[in-house]
Amino acid sequence: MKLKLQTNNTEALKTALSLISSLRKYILLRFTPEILYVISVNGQSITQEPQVWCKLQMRSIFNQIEIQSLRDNTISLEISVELFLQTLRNFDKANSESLSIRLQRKESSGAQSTNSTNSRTASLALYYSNVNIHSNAINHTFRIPVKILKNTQDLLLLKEPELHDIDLIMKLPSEFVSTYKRLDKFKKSSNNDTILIKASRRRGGFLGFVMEEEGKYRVTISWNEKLEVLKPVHNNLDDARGEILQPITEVDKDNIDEDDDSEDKEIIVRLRDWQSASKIVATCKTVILLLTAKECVLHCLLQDSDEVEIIYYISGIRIRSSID
Amino acid sequence: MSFVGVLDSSIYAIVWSKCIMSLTAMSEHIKFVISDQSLSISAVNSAKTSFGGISFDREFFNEYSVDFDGIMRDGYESDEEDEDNRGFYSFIISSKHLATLFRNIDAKDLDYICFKIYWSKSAPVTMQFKFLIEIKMKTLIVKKYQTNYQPVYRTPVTISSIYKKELLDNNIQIDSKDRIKQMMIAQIIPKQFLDMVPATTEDFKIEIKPDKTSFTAYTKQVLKDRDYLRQPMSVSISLSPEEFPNSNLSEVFENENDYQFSINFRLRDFRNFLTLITYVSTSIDANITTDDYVNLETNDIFEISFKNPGDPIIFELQNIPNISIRFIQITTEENNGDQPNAQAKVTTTNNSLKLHSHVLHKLINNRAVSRSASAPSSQRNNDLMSTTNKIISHTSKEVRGKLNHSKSSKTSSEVFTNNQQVRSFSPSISTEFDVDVITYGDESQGLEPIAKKQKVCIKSSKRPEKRMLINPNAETDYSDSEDETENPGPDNVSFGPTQLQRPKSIFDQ
Repeated sequence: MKLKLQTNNTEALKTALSLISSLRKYILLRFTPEILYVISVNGQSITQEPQVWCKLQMRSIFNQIEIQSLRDNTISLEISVELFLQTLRNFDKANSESLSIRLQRKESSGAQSTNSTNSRTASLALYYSNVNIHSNAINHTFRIPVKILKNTQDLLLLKEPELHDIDLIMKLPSEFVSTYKRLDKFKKSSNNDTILIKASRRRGGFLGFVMEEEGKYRVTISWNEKLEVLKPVHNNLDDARGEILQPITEVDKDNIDEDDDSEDKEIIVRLRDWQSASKIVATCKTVILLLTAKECVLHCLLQDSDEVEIIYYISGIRIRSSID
Repeated sequence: MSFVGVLDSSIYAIVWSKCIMSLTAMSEHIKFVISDQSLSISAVNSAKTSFGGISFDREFFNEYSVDFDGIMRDGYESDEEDEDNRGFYSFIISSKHLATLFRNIDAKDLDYICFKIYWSKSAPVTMQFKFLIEIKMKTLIVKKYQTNYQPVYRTPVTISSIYKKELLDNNIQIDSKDRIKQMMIAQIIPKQFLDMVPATTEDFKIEIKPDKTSFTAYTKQVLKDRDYLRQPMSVSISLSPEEFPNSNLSEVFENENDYQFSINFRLRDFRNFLTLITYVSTSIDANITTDDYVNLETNDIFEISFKNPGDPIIFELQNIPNISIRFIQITTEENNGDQPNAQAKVTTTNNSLKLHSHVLHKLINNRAVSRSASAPSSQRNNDLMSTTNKIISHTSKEVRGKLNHSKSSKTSSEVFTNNQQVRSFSPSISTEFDVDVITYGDESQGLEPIAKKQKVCIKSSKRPEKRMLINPNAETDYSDSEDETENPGPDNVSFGPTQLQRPKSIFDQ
């Protein structure tokens, strides 16, 4: 197993990490020759929400890549996101040329590991050198302990969710983040554990959030402006992605039946889960909401290009058919 | 008046407060040693693994006067061989008290801080063993504080001078391991380094190899079943030997081609030291302009000297005018399962390289005892002063025990309460004396009885006429313990008005 990387610009990686760092303490890094996956899932029960998958193009981040492993040249590590992020920030401040990343079988206290090579523990060493104001040349090394995931079991659990039967694809405008601020005000009230997300192709695209307590109140917060909605032709994410990346063309208005109730889609999610995506929505240039019968997915692109994709999955907690 | 120190520069006042805060972080007590030339404050942590000492020259103070004439013996030590140093007065103060006073010092509005101690024998009892602090603000508010202190033995930390001597001797014959290694380093390097280190990191390592020297901050990781229980990050920097303005490393390791030397210690107090010196040197740099520009640059450097793992490491900042800061820490070897080995090494360490906690210098205790004990005790008292601590503790314990007996034979209820006091006090004494040096852990307990005893003494000295009626032959002079032959002492307080005969103590036979 060998991992040797070098980069000059960590901006994309740093932004992606900082967006998901508040979700969980540990993240998974999966290095493949083409794509670096940064995955935030719950360690104990994988179904716990939300799940975030960031996909970064290796070539756009690193200028030297060397990955060798028995498992299709894929290396999966569990790492503390805060430490990793802190190190990247330090590198940023240091005004240094380049950052090298290497997987080492060395303990983080510096001593050679006495464990067998079978061990899952190793450390990810990040190093760079810089010159301080007194023109002292200093080499910095950061060793972050990591857990290598080799078990096929571990890896099997870690599968990117597959989306079937996408009902609706909706491009959210960049100002959309202000609805998060509105919803934040309801966060403190303990009754508002869940929200109902309503989306429809009718009325020129509708997206609303309903909070309700039986017999007391019902609040609907909705987006007034028109939204670009697309009825997906393909039924799974990978095909749909191609469409997303294309600028959404003028929606064929003739196809929308304004009287068809089945165009309205609803899903109930936890408010907390929905709200924790606010930073991602605020930062990403392109944000697309996908609704299926069971899930609500935010598919985001950090920049206009597809160098960094962030996919934020929330499963609906109860499915209500739109009929009742 | 015995000691007066006045600080009126706001920079120095802040420096003073930072120094106090730094030592507060280390220990519950701060030791003051006052001499003619300087005032130094120091602290030793409870594990006796690290020491912090800061010495302020008399020039640091705007006004500084020391008068040892007629000083009480407690806490005073004079060096007879050296004529220049007339003496040292040492005591400890609870660092908590000092910290509350100096934590948020409003230096801009500060007019002066004045420290006073009345240590002469003629000082009123209420003023004895009190550290007086007076702070005047520019708003014309004067704040006065006083706190009790306890006199202690000076017990200077000699590690630094031992190292200096060995360094000067420069004995090439000795194995490179046992020689003193010294290096100067720019403050900014470790400072910037520690800024990157997570706050929870515990240990620090210096590693020396032929081509580079590296500093590592790490926390020992805990592994269980091939998994991490604790996953701390380690951060390290490495420098080439040329980056040190001055070091004797190449000299020490001259004859070895492939060497690797490493020394470990706790990060906490090193961080403490660095924060302090960075503050002190930048604030003094910025505010005191010297004609010599070169001087400004060298201010940013401090010195590290160390020997073997297990021996102390010294950090020293001396190029700031009027202040010298020195922190010492005990080091260890790298613990890679060969722990017993490391421990064995520590035990063989020279005793002079160990850190000691403060030893109470409490003659007043003995004096009080001697009052209640019979005639020979004054003689004994003088002997005690010159003998070791251990003997003091034993005798006083013995005497105290006897005292308890004699008292319990009495019937007066007042005696009983008094007796209880003594009793409640004695357990703490005996636990203290189990170790061969007196720790100051029981200070607050210890102080009380002294105060009570003092009160008792005053009471008894007010009573002579009354007692004259009862027992005309009784000794009337109680003010000077040295001259006492017979001792009515504090016990007389219990003398009821209806009690005609003075009860016999076992010492009176």
